[in-house]
Amino acid sequence: MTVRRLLAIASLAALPLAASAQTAAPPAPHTIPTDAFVYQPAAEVEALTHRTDGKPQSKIVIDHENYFIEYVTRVINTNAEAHNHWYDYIHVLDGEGSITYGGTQEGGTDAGGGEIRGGKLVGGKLQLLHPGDRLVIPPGMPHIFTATPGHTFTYLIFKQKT
Amino acid sequence: MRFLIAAALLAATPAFAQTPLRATPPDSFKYLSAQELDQALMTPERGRVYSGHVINDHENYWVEFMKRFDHGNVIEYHAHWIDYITVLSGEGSVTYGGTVTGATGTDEQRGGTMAGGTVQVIKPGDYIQIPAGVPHLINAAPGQTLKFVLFKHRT
Repeated sequence: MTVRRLLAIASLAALPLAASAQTAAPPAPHTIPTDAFVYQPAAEVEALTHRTDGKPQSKIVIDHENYFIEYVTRVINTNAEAHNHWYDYIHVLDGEGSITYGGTQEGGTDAGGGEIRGGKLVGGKLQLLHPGDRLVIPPGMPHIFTATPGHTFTYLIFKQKT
Repeated sequence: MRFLIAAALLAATPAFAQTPLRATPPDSFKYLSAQELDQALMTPERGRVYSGHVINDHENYWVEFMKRFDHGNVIEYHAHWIDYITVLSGEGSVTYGGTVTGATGTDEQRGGTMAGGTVQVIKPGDYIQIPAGVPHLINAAPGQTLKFVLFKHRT
């Protein structure tokens, strides 16, 4: 029996094994039902994060254990945050704002699940943001999102667990 | 023979567990201006009229920007991928569901014709979620250019 033949048998035989290993594994990562077809017109999407009292608002439109999609409207904000286990993939939709990123988050506290909140961001870089811009923020990188004074600032986040 | 298979299995299992479908390095911080994104969408995909720009490619998800015209689009079917779409500019439509005949491919099908689909007009700011296994056709309205951002996730 040649090595090649052995490998071929092994790869054939390993497929069912991989399947049975999956059934024996802990519960599936997706804890909410399978997503249906959804269409939400812009007015409804806008309403998700619309407020007249000048406060920030965010809304998760689809929520899975290892990823979710969120629309966020920011006003002026000075709170630093870092997500130790999540990527932020962001697309700026509307308004004007900025991100300060990197550096060191001093005095932040873990709000649970590696979500670091508050404290002071020292040595971060400033990037102004406009509609159409996009960002990737890797896990653990501290950042502050804020609207430019006199503006609101809306963006779309695709959150992915590492 | 049985022993040989068992031995081969033992040897093969770790390789199956550890090899991702597509191994990409971890993503770093990135900033791309709106202008750079537009630039990236100037070149059509190979063999297509429309263009797509994949920003971050992972084995179970990716982020893509797409530009579609009123022609050159084909019916798509993804057996294992969910499309989460936000329309950025332009107007168009998504025709979904129905029965497709004459498509090519198996898990990823393209082309053919659709009977009995539902037409949904789409505009900037709209959100669309297309489950895995639902055939769909995305077109710009006549004379328009449709741009959208797409989060693809494997089921």
